[in-house]
Amino acid sequence: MSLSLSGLHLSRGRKAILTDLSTAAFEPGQFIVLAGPNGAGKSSLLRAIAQTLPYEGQITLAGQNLKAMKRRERAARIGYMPQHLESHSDLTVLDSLRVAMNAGGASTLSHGAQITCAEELLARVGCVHLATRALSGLSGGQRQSVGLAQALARDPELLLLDEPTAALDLSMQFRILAEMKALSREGRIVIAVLHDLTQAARWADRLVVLSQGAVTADGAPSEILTPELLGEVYHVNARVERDSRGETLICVDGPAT
Amino acid sequence: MTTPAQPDAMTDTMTDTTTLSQFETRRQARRILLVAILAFLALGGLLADIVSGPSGLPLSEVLNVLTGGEEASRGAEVIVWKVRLPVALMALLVGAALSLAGTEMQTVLENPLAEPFTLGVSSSAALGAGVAIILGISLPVLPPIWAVSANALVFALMSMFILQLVSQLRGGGPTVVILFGIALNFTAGALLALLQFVASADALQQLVFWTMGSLAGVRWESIVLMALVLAITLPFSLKASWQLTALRMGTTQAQSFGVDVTRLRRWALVRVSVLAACAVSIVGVIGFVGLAGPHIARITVGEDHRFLLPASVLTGAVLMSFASILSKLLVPGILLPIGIVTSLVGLPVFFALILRKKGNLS
Repeated sequence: MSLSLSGLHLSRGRKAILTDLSTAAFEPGQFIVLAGPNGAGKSSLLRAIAQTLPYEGQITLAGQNLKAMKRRERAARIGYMPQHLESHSDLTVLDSLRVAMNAGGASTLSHGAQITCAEELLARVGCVHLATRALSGLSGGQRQSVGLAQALARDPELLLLDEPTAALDLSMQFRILAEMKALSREGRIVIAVLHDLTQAARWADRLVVLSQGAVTADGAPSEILTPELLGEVYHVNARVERDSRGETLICVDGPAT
Repeated sequence: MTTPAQPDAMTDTMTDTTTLSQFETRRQARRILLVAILAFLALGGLLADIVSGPSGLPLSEVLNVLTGGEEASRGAEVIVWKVRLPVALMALLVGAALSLAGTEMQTVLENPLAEPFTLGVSSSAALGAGVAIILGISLPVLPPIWAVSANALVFALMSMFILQLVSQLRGGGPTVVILFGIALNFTAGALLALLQFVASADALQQLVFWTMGSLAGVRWESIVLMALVLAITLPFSLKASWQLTALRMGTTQAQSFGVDVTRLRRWALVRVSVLAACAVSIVGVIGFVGLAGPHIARITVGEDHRFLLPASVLTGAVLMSFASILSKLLVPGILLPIGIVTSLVGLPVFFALILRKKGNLS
């Protein structure tokens, strides 16, 4: 059940966002982080995989072309959390999870089973106490955690998360990153966009660095994160250090000279 | 648009002793009860509307006529079957249709101000009526008695067709549709003013009366037509209720749940077109109900469209029914055009409700 991307082209208006992007297959059980500077095409790539942006090229899941897959099946197999989550709705968190379970096609679970499932999902992201709160009453971080639960609502095999930790405090960041790792270990492919390369190095099994719509580096974080790569992609002077426990630390000293 | 934190749309709180499942069951039961109360109010409105009028028929006699009792007088039968019942039924149906159209429009265009009136459907219908009344141009095969309504219907449908085309354009998102609808509203208004400028005094009076919206002289054929349109569109709206609710969380998130938003918008606008065009062409321009019905329903049962859609239909029906009663009672002996009543009396009530809800309209 691997995910393959080959020859992807994506443009918005006249601006090319992704140009002939191909990667080695993403395998189940892998936690993959997409990184790269702003405007590199990370979010667009996730949206293309989630089939919410038109593209040229081929994206296959378990050998099946995603473009040809029925919308209903796609909704069940792919969970996608967008970068910007609107929060003006008065729907409760519980309502929103039930919508996530049913909007792409009626869930096969009974009403009671859907509530139990929603409760379990909220427990996974540490938000069970928010179940009866309105989305409009959540903080940015709470909304993001609920967004992750929504993406998980149909128990997808492929999980696409756009900056899932951007609004979270340190404790919630740890919790959500650990949860993403655990979700991948359950046999899912988990792909997340992250800007924090130290976190990426700590948690990801595989790091794909995008720059100007193409893959610049792809591999185990400890192998590909080098000062040269950071200089080339982010135009910064950076050091890649190891802490006392052998974990990778990225330290940026300033713009590239 | 950000809003102040609210515990929950239904102001429920979950205590430690209740499980989430119990909480949800209670909440659903309460929403069903609220919809049932609205249905009861609509039925009460219908009866009160039939009873109210200058000739003072008591409820017992009205019920006697409606149930085919033998001792009903011929006069009472004529009043109920030929005058009061058609008006009362049409009030319910038009209110239901406009409110349903408003709810779907507000949801798919993600704008709390969207309704047939603000997007130019009503003014286009008025333009169509103006063309028939002032220029005498109408569809050739129809009897003259239907000319005005038929023209209004064609123009209203055309306006919605143009809005549909705009929504299909590349980049034709909800904002573009709304801006275009507003432009359409002004254009139709300007063309209507031009017609009024060249109209004879008689034609002008007739047109002004039509644009005020009136239930007087409603035909049974129109009632059947309106009921059919509602009966055909409502099941499709209800079938899309999960998808419509998903859209309350924004286009991107609805798409992420697997909703085909383009298709959802297209079909919702088709339903809205037929509902609004039919209602406006039969009874004239009636503002407020398409805007207030959905908001009052949302305040009452929340945003879950499985409950919101039926609640909107019933709220619109109740609003129009009570407006119809008031149109007979406000000035004794005179039947005011209902469009005036809905706007004058309804708006203060509507604003009072919104202010109590602390202004969350999104």
